[in-house]
Amino acid sequence: MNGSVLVVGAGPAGMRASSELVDQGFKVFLVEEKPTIGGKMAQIDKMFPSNECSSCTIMPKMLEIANDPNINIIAFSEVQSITGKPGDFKVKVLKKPRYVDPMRCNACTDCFPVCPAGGVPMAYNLGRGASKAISFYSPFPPRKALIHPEKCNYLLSGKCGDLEQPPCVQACERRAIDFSQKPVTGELHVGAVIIATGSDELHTDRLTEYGYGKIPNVLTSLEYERLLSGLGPTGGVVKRDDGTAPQTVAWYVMDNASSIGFMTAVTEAMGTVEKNSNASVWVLHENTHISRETYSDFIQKAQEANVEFVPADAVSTTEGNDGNINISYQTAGRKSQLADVNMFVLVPTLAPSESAQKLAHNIGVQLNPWGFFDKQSGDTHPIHTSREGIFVCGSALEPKGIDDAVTQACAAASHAAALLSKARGTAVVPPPEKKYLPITSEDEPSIAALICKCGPNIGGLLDINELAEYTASLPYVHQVELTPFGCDGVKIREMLRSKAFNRVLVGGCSPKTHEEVFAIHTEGGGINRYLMEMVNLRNHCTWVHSKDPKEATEKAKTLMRMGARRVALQEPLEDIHIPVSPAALVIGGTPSGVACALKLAQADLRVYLVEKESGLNAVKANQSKFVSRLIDALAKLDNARIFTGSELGAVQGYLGNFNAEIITVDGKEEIEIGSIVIATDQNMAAPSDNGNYETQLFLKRGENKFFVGMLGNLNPLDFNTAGVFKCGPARMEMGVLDAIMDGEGAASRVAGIISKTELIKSPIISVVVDGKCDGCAYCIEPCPAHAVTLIEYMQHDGTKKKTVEINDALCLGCGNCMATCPKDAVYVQNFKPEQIMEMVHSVSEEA
Amino acid sequence: MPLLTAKIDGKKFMWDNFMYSSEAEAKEKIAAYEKDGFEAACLTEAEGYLVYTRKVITEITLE
Repeated sequence: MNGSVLVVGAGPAGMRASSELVDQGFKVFLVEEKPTIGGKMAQIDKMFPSNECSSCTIMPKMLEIANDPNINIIAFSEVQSITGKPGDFKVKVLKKPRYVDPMRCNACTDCFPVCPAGGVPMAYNLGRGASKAISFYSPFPPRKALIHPEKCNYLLSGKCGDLEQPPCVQACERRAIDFSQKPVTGELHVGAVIIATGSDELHTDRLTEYGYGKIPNVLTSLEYERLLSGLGPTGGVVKRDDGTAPQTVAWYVMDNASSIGFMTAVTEAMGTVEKNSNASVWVLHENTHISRETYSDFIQKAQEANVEFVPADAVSTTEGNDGNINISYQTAGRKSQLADVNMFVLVPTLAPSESAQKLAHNIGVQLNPWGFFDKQSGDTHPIHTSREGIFVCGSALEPKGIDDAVTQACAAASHAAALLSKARGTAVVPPPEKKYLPITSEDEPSIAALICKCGPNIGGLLDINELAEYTASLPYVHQVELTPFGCDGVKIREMLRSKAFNRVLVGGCSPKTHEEVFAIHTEGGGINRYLMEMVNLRNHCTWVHSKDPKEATEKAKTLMRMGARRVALQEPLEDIHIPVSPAALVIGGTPSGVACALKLAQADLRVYLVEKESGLNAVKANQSKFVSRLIDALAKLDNARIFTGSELGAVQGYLGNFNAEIITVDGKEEIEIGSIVIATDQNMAAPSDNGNYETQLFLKRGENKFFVGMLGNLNPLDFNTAGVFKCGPARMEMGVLDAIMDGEGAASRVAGIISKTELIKSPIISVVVDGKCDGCAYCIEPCPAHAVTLIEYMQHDGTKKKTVEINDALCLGCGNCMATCPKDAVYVQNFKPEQIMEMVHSVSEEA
Repeated sequence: MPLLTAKIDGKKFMWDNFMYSSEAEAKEKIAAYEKDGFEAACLTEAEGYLVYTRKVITEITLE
């Protein structure tokens, strides 16, 4: 049995399935047909129903995946065949030529300006914007150049320019250009396969009927998303074909079978109004049914933002004056007309991705009549395909929102993990051993400073040489280097090779997305990651002061000065290791709870299921045959223990280390678990006098009685209490099959914790100065992680004193306690008051 | 000067600010503290015996 999994498709579902599997001890080969990862989520501007910035949300995940040694991204590649059986598949993968060696390319972009072949429409922007014949496909990983063979002079004619070598070859110091590349087929060995190929807009003649391709300023939803996106061809400014900003925009939802198209239109209309409050926006739709409460709330917000909803059928368009579009439609048989609109956005039906049909044919998996992946006749499990050991998730099954795609990806991961449980940990490599230089807090600081140009993002605006010269003049800064893209780690490791430094200062992009990457490179150079400080020159200087390069450069100097002062005072810290109790508790014998417990037990993990009904037959009585089969399967597994006629008593503890009391007819029993899943239904009565786990675990319910969890589309199963998850009817109303998938998704979240012997946590947490703390308790309520406990202690003379205790495992290092303490008795490691004040004082110094 | 704080079984205990000369004396004090609802533990130092205590307060009153 092979402990590796092939994931096909690197959109949100494929990426999430990959990270879930790695978390559970499996190696992943992530094959993506496009040259970069991220899928549609990286192309759109904002997501419903959270209205989060899509690329900002997905970027850290992409970098995490790109830097994980146990995820092998095979981009610009296609799966040609899969032979073998579950547990032992052989996969043939065709790698397409990019004519650039990705192992050599460091994304310096020196080849771009010298390429004489320009005006290449940008495929990532759906034809909008232009690049050279050598370019990046998108701003996302893997960030490697790519040559478009149909536009490259050298590949077309065997010659480019007057010299012997083409200009790009001459410009590339790392000799990465390779015109000899041909398609190459390789073979992978994996135990299971997950398909996550997503969906595409269906472009049919229907689009042309509404003027698409004929009338200017009629475009599709995804094309409009690229105009809204800050990383799109217009930098997030919506423009018509003539470059003017539209003041009137209408959407037409062409697919009423699901709510996805409608919600997409609502999100885009909201995004338009957010950017231009004077814009008038209409969403034309045909009685779209919205069943989900969170979607209804989002629609209400859109209405409050003056998005107008127009029930309409028989929609037609004609070309108006000045690039406008005349729209006619009927409502209940009455013909109406919208005023001319400046832009008309069509929201087409979503269909399986173009590659899905080819993939299904190549690997012998059935598709349903609509082209989505299908299962064997008689098999009702949603994520099964017609071939055992090959699972499917996300929009490859049917169009769905990102939150649902993420849940299914987790479920698919739990299926693969259950199948390969005997091979867990056999294919992964352990994290590289950290070998640090012997650096102590007392050593005089010696700072290596790196200024990243971030392509044109920073280098295109700041006077980068002046900034480098200034940075070199700062105390303890002994070397300054410039780099086109520091995130590749080449320059930083080159600097640290001398072993002459004990601190690193990086001026670059946002630490929110890239701090982890630079921390890894710093560790690779032998320096503790907490001795690295990152200054955000991009967001804080060039982006917000893009019209004033001189002032932006002056601000950059101030920020680098502050960074240098701070990093000089930073201390080497060690990660926190949290031991894990290798078992889980599932509360509620609902279909979700049973499915969750079954997947955990099948993955060779210990699980306890607590159900208030008196016996399994009582639980089965209200369930479908499918759920009854799951219950029977669970009852046969030795590592699953089912407490029926029981309820939960007191629960205490934290991530990886909970203690729970089970109240059975025979008395109380205590169990130790590493993680907890709430799978009750929303009507379940509040916990009894035996103990209130909802209060003890800091869980909250909304007005509709469903549990409320962590915000964000990527966290549908997570609570804010680390190590506690929710699924099925505990979080929203859903059908039985969706509830089963939800439970299986929760099983994956849990398995990521309890399949480990210990969890590693950042040491950026709060520390109490006991000599100063008098136990006033002001810090307790503001702590969002419930990590602060008030304790009383004795003095020999009989007096009592108080202080607080911080739970290292729970503390998020947010600093709320530090901000509220009137005695300076608590600080966050590496954010000590003296470190912060040193930065503050340095602001007032002249550059 | 002994440490104010000791981590015992993963929990934070605080010193009672006295060095006991014998184990029996320390144990007697521990029994008294435990009677008062405190968790208590004894640590041995070269100079004598140290007693550490703690009690979690759940009813919090801000002054």
